[in-house]
Amino acid sequence: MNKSQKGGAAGLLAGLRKLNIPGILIGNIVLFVLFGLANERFLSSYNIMMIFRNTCTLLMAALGFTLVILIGKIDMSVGSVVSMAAVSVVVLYNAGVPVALALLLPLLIGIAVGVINGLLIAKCNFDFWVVTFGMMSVFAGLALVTTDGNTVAIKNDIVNWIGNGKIAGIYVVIWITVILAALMVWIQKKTKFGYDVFALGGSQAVASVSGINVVKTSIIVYALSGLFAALAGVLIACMTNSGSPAVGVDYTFNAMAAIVIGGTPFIGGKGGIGGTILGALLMKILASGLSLVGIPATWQKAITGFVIVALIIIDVVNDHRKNIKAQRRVYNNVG
Amino acid sequence: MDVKQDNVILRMTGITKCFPGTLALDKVQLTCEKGKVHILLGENGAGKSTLMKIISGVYTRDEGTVWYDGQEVNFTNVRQSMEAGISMIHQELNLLPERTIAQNIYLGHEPMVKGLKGVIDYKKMVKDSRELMDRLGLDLDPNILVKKLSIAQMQMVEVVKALSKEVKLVIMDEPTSSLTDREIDKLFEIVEKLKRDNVAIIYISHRMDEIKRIGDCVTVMRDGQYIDTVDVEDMDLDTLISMMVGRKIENMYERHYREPGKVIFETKDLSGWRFRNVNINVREGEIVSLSGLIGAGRTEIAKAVFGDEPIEHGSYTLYGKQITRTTPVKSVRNSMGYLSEDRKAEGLVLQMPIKENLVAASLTKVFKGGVLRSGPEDEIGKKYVAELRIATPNAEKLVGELSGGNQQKVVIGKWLETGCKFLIIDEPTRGIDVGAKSEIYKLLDRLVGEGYGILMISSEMNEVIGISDRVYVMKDGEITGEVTRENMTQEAIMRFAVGGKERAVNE
Amino acid sequence: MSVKKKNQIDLLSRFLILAVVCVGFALLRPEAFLSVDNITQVVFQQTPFTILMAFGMSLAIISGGIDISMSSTMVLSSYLSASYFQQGNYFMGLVVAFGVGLGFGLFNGVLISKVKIEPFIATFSVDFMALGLAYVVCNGEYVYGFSDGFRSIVNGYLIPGIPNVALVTFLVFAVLYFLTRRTIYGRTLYSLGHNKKATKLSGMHSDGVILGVYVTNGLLAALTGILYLARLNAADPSIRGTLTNDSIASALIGGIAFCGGTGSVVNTVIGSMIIMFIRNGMNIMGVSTNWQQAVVGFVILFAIVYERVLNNLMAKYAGKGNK
Repeated sequence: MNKSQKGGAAGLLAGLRKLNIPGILIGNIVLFVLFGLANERFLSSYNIMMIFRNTCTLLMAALGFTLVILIGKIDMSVGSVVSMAAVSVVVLYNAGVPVALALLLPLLIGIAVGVINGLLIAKCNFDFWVVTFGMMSVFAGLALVTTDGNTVAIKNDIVNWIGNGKIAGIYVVIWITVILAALMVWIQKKTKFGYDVFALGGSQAVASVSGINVVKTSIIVYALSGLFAALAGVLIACMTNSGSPAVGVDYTFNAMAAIVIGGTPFIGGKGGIGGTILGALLMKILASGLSLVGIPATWQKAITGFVIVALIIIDVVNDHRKNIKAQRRVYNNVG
Repeated sequence: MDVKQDNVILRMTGITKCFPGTLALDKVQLTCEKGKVHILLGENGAGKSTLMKIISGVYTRDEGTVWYDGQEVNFTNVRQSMEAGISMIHQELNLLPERTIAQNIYLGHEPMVKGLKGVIDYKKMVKDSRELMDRLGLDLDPNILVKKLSIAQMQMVEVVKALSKEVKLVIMDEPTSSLTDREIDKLFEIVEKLKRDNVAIIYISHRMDEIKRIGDCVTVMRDGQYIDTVDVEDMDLDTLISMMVGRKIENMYERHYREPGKVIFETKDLSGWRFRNVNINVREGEIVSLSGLIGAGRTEIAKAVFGDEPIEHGSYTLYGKQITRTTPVKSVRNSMGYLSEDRKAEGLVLQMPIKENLVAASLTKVFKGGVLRSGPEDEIGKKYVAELRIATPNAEKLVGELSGGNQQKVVIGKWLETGCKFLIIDEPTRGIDVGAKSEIYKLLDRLVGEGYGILMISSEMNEVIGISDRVYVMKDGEITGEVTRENMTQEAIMRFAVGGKERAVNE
Repeated sequence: MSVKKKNQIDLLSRFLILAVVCVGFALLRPEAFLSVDNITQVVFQQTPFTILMAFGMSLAIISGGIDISMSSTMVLSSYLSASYFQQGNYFMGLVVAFGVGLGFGLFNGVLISKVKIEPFIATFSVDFMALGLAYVVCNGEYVYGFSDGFRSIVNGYLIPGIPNVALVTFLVFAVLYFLTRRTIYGRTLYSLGHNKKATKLSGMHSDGVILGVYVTNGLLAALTGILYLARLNAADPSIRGTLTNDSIASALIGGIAFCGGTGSVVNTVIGSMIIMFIRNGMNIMGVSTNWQQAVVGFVILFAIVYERVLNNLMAKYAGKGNK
């Protein structure tokens, strides 16, 4: 009772803490308000729609990647798979493959990359970092080979509709992303597979003695990471009506940033896709805001990079501090 | 022993298991009956845990047969044994700190929504966990995260987890090692209830008082071999112990007690992670033990003193020098040595040769002016291989290829080479066979004879009583008592360890 | 089998890989590949850059970490120092180049040893930062045209027959070999790679050595950057190219095990040769550079599989020998 009388910022902060709102949501709101005050065009319905639209491909690539980080691992090949899928759509279609197949086959490539990653890592016990880095190199190269380094255009109504069409006034890509993100949240929260992912991230040894099939779960996780990366690539091809072998270059880092900012630490075991959605949104709000405020394009990338690096460092330090706190308080019982 | 055939749930015969370099189990047998508590007795490294891991499918056996519930079985993973009704409470905590109690209890066998395979019914899970915990007398909210529990509470959750499915055989691997009196009573009530439900229990322990209290029969193992099985009524404590250690206990612990010298190490209201206000001292020529349950904060004191974890309040003096902040580098300079409980992970670099491990804490002797001189390193290697009788053809061999006892000698040699006179030794004989154990004890005795002061942390009661001058007992991060050699008994130590200062549990 | 013998067999097998690569291309295109011009060109003119970067990667991997920020540090330091070198102000050029290298090296080192961030995450982030900054600074304008005097640090011949760039690389090799094999620094480095905790608890200066590794890497990156300026006669952010991939592949295929603690700079040199001869051979065969990048990726994957197989074979052989 005394606390509320203190009033002011401290009281507000204490109140907020009680509500247990994740910091990332507050971050989103604060950025939103700040940019809104700085430039009114930022708050226009057009701009807000564009922010959501821009978030789609990043979020898509991060959906499966989140599961990988949840089990305490990394998938460096995400960016290359994005590029590979984007060029595959275009090259397949231009080679005369029916459009439906041209859109679906790249997804199989993504799954295949994931399964190979998973097999090498979970089954053969190779270090996840080197394996996915090697796959990254291989597919970055193959994406270049596919189009001989060029950006190739695609002309098809269905492809264009998926990328730029609207249903009920909202872009199709947004619909697709929202539906898939919701599905993944549900899978993570409600299914046995989701539970197993958290168990694996908490401790592989515990998961194993509790009868969870560690190898199978890890392979599925990497396969999903590959699948969603490929989906992101397909969406990019549809949105830009073209395929470029360098389009995915920054996706690994940006998706990783969205995930970590969203509250899934690199050690895994906690956090989840809900946070990743907000993390991806935050990055795109930042990008949109910076360009509306009039920061030149080259600086935008550097600034975004700095912000992300700072957030990652804060996250790691914070997690470290929390662990120490947990260690210190073990002898205190709770009721 | 007289066994009714139809009552037998588990019969293992001729079980053999090899690990690279060691024969972990050598033709071991074990027979368990429904509704009985079968105690498995043996020192650390006797092969008890390996045998249990074979039953539960973590390891597969090399030879032998396992009959379970009327048929021959060969479990190759944990899932199979779980489905057959075998449940294991592991010695190390197997819980996920970031998940709720309910999620942990049903980990691996979560209840599903009817008609939807793979979709979890969390509400049912919480309801079931609450009922289960009520039945077992554990009053906790199933929705809170496990990381918020105390170690004893976690251990109880582990028990609940093991009993959350249909069980015919429960394996308990030292379940009381971190429990206080009240919780031990609760656990034993649960054991009695399980017996009435005709469940078979294999109970691993080396606490003699427990064996009398709940056991029906005892099987003794030593160095991977089956020794004998006896009924608890016919059991004689002395013969049991000699079966366990393989020789008369007097030979094992050879100590020449002397009048201790001046105080070389003394803490003053030392507090840190998991311990607070610790005041202890060690004198020259003395082995002082820190005893207590697992999680009482003993290892944390050692780590804080050595500088691996922070000291939060207070200080300690070493050879008259007051220290409030330190790092391992400074501690080595202050003439202190630390033998960690996890020798392989924290004490040695297994992939490096013996000689390089021996000089690891005194590199400046070998690298004069920072540059390697090959002579001194070889000499030091030869010296300790001979002096500590390390079983190896030469000092070039990789430490990882040595047995546990010889590895421990290398760690001791590493600290002797630094010329320090104060050693903190955490679990000196963990994972070491009996022969090497007595050698280590003799070595420690020799060192204190030469004026060393040793602070020892040990969970092996026999060891603590066998070689210490004094024992400090800890509970929940505080020193609860000091026991001197005149009145050093297991009961005296345990009273302080589990009872403590009679503090309320939920403070 | 003793460690020494094991390492010798391992090293020998890496030479064999190099031989197989060279013989393979020699059989396919003897006239182009086997010419003295081509071989000296690869060994003395192309490989040194990869070797210098791979040295840094190797140090990081031996210590149990990784450093993927080196190529971006190189780009940034070379770009920032370029105009000084162009104006003939060598002193300022060196100060700026090595200053930038030192700065990013320290930053990496502090993040990894003090803040306890995973080396891969820390250097990945720093890589992103440094590259972003390089593009900001560059802003689409390239610095080009350096004096012949400056360019002679790469192309000149202090010793007849051996270009200066190879000489510099050899000097760095000698220093690093001595540092890693004969000094306290090196002993701690290898010990760290095998077991960080045990190293720290033996009272070794583990944090200091880790810091030292990343600082060394920053300086190596700066040095490579200066050499690149002289070689290309231009400063351009795109020279980063595939150097990170190449140096990881070089270290791994050369026999620096990713788990840390094994291999030496000798392995790095062999590994770099393997990668550069593969690239050279493919160039001669007329394979596009796009394919080359995929092949380097395959080499990384091949390297880890190869190491596993080789270790298993040696363990099997050693087991038989004991019985």
